[in-house]
Amino acid sequence: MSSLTEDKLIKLNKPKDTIEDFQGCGINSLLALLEHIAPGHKISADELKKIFDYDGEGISEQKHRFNRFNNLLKDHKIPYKVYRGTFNSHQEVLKYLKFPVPIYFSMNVIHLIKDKFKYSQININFGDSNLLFNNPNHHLLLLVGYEEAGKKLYFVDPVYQLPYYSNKDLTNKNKLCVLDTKQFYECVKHIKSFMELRFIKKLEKGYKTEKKKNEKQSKLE
Amino acid sequence: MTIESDNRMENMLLEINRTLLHNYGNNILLSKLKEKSLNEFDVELDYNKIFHIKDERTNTLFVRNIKFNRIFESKLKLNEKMELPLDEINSTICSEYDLIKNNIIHKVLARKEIVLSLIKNTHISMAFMNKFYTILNQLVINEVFHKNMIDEYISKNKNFEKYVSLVVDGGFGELDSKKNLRATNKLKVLFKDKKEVKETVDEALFILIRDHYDYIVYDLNIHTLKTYVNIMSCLIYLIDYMKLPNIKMRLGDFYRVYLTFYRKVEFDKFLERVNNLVYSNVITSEGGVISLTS
Repeated sequence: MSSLTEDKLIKLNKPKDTIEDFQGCGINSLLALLEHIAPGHKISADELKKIFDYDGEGISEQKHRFNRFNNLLKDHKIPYKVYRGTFNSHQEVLKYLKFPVPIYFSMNVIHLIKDKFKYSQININFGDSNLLFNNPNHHLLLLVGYEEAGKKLYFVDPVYQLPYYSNKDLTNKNKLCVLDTKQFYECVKHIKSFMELRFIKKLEKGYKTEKKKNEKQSKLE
Repeated sequence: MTIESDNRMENMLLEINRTLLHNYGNNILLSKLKEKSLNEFDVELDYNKIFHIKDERTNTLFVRNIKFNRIFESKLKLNEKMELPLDEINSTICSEYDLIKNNIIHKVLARKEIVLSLIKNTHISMAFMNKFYTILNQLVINEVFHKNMIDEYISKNKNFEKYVSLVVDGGFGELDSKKNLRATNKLKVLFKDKKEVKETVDEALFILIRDHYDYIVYDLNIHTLKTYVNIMSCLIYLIDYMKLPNIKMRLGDFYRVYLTFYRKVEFDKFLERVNNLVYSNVITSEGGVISLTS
């Protein structure tokens, strides 16, 4: 963990497309990841909505949706896969911080960060926040950086910040959500899950070979 | 022992929460975990859906939730993998939504101005409702609708008999010994009170729809009425239940609220229906932003 001696902040670019709804935190997180790993990609929020049954009701098997998402990445020749991962300590997730890391929190994390959701373009009204936040729903936040050897963690809220921030805001520490490790553990202790992004070298090699082959072919023609 | 017990509980919480999130989506939540006997736990699950609705008038994003308590209860042993009966849980969730829908539909039906606008201006609905107008107009103006006339209508449309029965059941007409339909005192008093024929017929029709909605929709097959009442019920849900009385929202946002309660309607179809409500002057639309006509 020697790298933790240095502070880190990822430059997160705002995706072209975002969803302004609580249920959209997963989709916005994936769009943010895509923007990071494949800027200029052609995957729309609508495609992700379909895969994750965004407008659907009731319950359904969720595991296969990540497989479908990974197949979509394959179709677009993006050499990454996303899985649901678990962790025990915050240091474990910090090592994934080459990319923004979507981490599941209990919803009461919003209590701790909602002061950052103040904008000139929109007011956000949580109504009776006790009624709302004391439910054990889960909410994703994007881990984008840390300071003080990981004792101070920086996050972007994919629903209540990402749609309203500019790229400049997303790199301004004062505008990001900050949690200390105590707060972090309080809000993740009964879930300790995240979206794990894996680079698949074999896929990248395959895509490169295919690209070269296609280029050669088109030159011959 | 206490520490060991706490650890077990913590592990169970972690395991159940992960299973729920990974396998059953974001809205099914663990609400209670209690150790019943050694290594055996009582588990209770809630349903809680959080949604946003943006008020374009005040430029405010309202974050609200729909919660159903104890949608599933079960026992679970330590280290036992939780498997939920999807059909059973979905059915419970649907029943809870049906309860809300029933309430909000009745709230729509209780609002005379909305009901009358719907039936007067929605062309398909009006074609069916004309039968009620025919009967009630006769009763208010002439106090009697003669058997030979009733028979003539029935010969053209057998269903007409059901409309007559409903007017009788609603207490606005009664059949005499010769099977003529006569206005009841209830209708006469209503006419005396309202003074105008049109007002009296409207009031009687509103009462019939309010009190016999399901029969009118499902037996007289006026499903179009239901289509529009459903849309209005979503608007009333936001206004009454979510306490957003002056909400103005984008059509797309309203569509998502609609999909929370009612399914299987394409956006284009929904748009067409909302446009009909705009023509009926029940809903106001300005640049794709809609609100309840005041």
